[in-house]
Amino acid sequence: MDNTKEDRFKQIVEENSRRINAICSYYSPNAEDRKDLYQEILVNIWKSLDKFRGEAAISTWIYRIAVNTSLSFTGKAYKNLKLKVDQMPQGVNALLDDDELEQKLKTEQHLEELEAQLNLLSVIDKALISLVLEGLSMREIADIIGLTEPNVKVKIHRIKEQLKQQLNSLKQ
Amino acid sequence: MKTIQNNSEPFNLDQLVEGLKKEDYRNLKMTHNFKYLLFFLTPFYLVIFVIALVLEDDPRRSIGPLLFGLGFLIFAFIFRDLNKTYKSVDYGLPTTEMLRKAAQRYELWQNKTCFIAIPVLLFCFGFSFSVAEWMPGADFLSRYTFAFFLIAIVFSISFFVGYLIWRKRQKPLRDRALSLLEEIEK
Repeated sequence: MDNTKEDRFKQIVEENSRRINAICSYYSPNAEDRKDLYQEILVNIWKSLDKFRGEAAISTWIYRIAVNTSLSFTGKAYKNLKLKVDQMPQGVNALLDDDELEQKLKTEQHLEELEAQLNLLSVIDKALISLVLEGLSMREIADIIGLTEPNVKVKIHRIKEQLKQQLNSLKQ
Repeated sequence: MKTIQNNSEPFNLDQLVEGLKKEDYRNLKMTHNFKYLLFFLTPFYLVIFVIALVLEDDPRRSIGPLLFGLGFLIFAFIFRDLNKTYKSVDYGLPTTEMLRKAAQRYELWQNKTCFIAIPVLLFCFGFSFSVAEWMPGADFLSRYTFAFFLIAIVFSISFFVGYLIWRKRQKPLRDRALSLLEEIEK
């Protein structure tokens, strides 16, 4: 086995460990599952490395592998994906586009409700939301998932509206 | 030792890379050994065919080895193709494309499955010709038919076992890939 692949792999993993960690955090609340998922993603990076020709940005490629591995992860994480609000770097606002609602949620300690609503979403919607929370543009998300940009916009808008409606109805 | 931080825990990257390299080497060795075995069996049976053709009075006796040789040759090419497909699994593709390819890969009836029927039939005919020669009594056609059905039953049982394995292991993966794909595209 050539050392070039090994060196390249190590460099990619070191440079992107934050991204991989972030996706693992979204998908696995349990530390043991998170570690398994992290290792599974690294294994798939290794397996796919020879096929990476640089057509996409390395960050897009890493996110694709992380999301694809998470979706097809054979462990119990698949059906029980849990998005944790406290692990969201971009804050609740990235999701709701509503400062007032964000503030209310925080002050009234209704973050658990948001978390509960997020976890009622389908697996694919959770995958989309995890990418929104990573601060990626619609173009980048479309490249990762393999949909058109307008299609991604519509889907994310629909998810956000659904979340806002449910949270508002809970508060009334 | 190179470690990176996996959330709160340090992760030993060197150890993982060593494991991956060993697995790659093991897979490569296994694939090569199987490929060499198949490519060895082809000329082996073809040599037997030539010897039987020259030495035996009845040319029917040489048909069995010829069919076995051809069966192994076709099987070697099918195996090479399957191995290429296995190696081409790419998690770096966009999710929809990856799911579509996964669903195709785990499909039971593919064009490739039909190609497998060719060497299987050649083995059936080859076995029937070889065994019928050594069976006592009755005319050649009856002995040949009996031998053919015997081997066909053995292959049918093997296919049924293969189907059960597919249903338990691959069908859930195909169904999951298709349902995720449907959900993404709706």
